[in-house]
Amino acid sequence: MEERYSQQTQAYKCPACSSALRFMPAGNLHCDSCGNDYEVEAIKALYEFDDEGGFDWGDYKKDRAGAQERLNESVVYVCRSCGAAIETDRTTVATRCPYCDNEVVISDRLTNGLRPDGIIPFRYESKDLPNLIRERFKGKKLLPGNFINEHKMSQILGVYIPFWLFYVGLDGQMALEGTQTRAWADSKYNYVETSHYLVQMDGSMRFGGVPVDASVKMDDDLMDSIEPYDFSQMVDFDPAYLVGYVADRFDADPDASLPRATARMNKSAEQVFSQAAPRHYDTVSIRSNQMRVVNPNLRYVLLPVYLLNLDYGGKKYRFAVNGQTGKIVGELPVSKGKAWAWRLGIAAVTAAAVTMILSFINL
Amino acid sequence: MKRFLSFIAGLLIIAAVSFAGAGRASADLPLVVDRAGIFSEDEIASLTDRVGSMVDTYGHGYVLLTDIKNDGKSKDLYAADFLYDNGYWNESNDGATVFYLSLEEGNRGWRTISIGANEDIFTEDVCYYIDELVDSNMRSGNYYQAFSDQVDYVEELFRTGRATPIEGGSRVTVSDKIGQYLPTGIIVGLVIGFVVVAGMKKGMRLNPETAAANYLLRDSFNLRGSREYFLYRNVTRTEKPRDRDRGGSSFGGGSSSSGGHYSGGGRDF
Repeated sequence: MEERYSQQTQAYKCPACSSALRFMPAGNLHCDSCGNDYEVEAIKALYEFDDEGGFDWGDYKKDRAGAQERLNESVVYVCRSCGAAIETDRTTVATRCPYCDNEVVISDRLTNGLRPDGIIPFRYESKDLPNLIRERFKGKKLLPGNFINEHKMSQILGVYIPFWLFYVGLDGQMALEGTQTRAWADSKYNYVETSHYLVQMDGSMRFGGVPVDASVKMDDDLMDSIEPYDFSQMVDFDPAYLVGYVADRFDADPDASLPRATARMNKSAEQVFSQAAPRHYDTVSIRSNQMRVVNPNLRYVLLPVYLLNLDYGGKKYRFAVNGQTGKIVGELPVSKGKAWAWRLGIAAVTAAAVTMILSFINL
Repeated sequence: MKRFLSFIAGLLIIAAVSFAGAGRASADLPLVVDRAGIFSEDEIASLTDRVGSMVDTYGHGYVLLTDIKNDGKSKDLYAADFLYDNGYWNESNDGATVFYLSLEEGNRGWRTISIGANEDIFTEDVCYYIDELVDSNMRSGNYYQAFSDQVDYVEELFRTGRATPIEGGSRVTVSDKIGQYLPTGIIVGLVIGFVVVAGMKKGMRLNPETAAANYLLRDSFNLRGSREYFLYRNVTRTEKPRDRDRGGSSFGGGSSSSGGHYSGGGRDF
C-alpha cells in the first residue's frame, strides 16, 4: 500500500542570484551558481521575514457596522417648504429642491451611526473660485488656449465629501538590505566590491487621522491630491453647516478603505526605518515589510470640496478645490501642438548649445 | 669725455643687438643645421630666414636639425644633447626646441624635443599635432615641405599662444567640430526636449499623496532593536579606458648626457 507523507518543505534561494542554496558540511549555505557563501542564521532570518503573514485589521468597525443599511438605488423625500417629491440617490444628505430652490437636509441619514463625528466648514466662497482657478492655470504652458470656459466656471458645486480618518499604530519588523562599497584599481582594471547585509529592525509607530474618502463615486486620486486639511479646525457636526451645499454620506466600507490608508502609512514607515538604519551603509533599501496594524480606530467626518467639470475635446475634466485651503487639483488637457513646439524648441536650443560646447572643448 | 660717450654708445649698440636677438642663445648659432644634406642652399636660406624671424619676434629658442647618424643614441637623446651641447639654451631665451629629422639607416624618424620653458609650450598635444601635420610629407620624402609646414605651424603657435588641432594632416576648424558633434547635440537636445515636456505634462496631472508622513504622530516611533547579518559580496571588474590612439606618436621625457631635462616626442618611419 502506497503511503503518502505530507511534509512541509522549505527551499532556500540565493539572495544574490536566486539559485538554490546547498548546505555545506562546514555549516554554511553555498550557491553553486554565483559561488557566494551565507551564514545559516542570515538566510533563516531572511526567510522568516518572507514567510510572515499579512496585516491584522482588527475589529475597528464594530461601532459602524450596525449603521450599514440596505438602501434602494433612489429614495423619494417630501420637501417641507413646497411639498414637492424629491428623488435623491441613497447617499445624498443635503441637496436643493428643484421646484422651490430651498435647501434640503435629509436628517434621517445623519442619525445614529450615520452621524459624522466632525466637519470642517467651508472657508472659501464659490465666488472666489474662478480667480483661484485662473491663477492655477496661468503658468501652464501646454494648456489649450480656449480651455477655460466662463460659463462652466459659474457651475461650481460645493460638496461635503465623507471621509474616514484612520488612527492606526504600526508594529512589527522591517528587513532592509544595506550595502557597503569599496573601490580600487590596478594598472589595467577598476574594481568595485559591494558587500550586502541584511538589517533586521523591530519597532512601532502611530499615525493619527489619515484621510481616505468614503464615497465610492468620488475619484480616489482626486481626493488624495486635495490634501492636506487642517484638522485642528474641525468642529462637532451640526446639520446647519450643510445648508447651501450638497452633502453625501459614506457608502465605502471602512474595510475597503483601510488598505489605502495602510499603504500610505507603510510607505512612510519604510522611510522612517530607512532613516533609522545604521549609518555605516552606503545604500539602504527595503527588502520586506512586516508591519501589522495595531489599535486601529477611525472617525467619520465631512470635508469641504468644490467640484467643477469642464468638457474639452470630447473629454470631461474634473477639478476639485479644497474648501478649507483653496488648493486646486485636477488633470489638465495638453495641447499637442504646444507640446511639440516646446519639445522642438528646447531640442533646438539644447542641440545648438551642446554642439558648440563640445566643439570648443575638443578643438 | 669722448671716451665715456663712446663707451655709452657701445653699450647701447650691444643692448640693441641683444634685444633684437633675444630668442637666440647666440647670433652665431645656426638655426637650420642640415647635417643630412637634404636641403638646397635656397631652402636652407628660406628656412633660416623664417625661423630667425620667429625666434627674434617671440623670444623662444628654436632650431631645425637633420642628421644621418645618432652616435648610438636614441633620437630623443641625440636631439636633447644637440641643444645642451651647442648652447642653444641660455638665460635670454629661457628655453629651446629642436625639430630633428633622423635619417640614420634603420632608425629613421622625427622628434620635437624641448628644454627649459619650451617644455610647457610643446606639450604632448602640440607634438602630436606636429606629427600629424608632417607625417605624410615625411614618409613620402618631401622633407622641405614637411619642415616648412612645421615652421608655419610653430610660428602660429608662438603668435597666438594656442595650438590648432591637426588631424590627418589638416587643420581642424570649428566648423569641422560642429559637423562632428551636431548629431550628438541633436540627440541630446531631443532627449532633453522630451524629458522637459514630460515634466511639464506631469505638472498637468494629479499628484496624489502616496505617503502619510504628515500624519505620523511626533515621537511615536519606537525602535526596539536592530540586528545585522552579512549576506554576500560581489566584485565587478571593468577595464580601464585606454589612451586615445596617437597614430604612432611617442611622447616622454628624460635627461640629456649632461644631465639637463628634456621632453618631447615624434614618430618613426
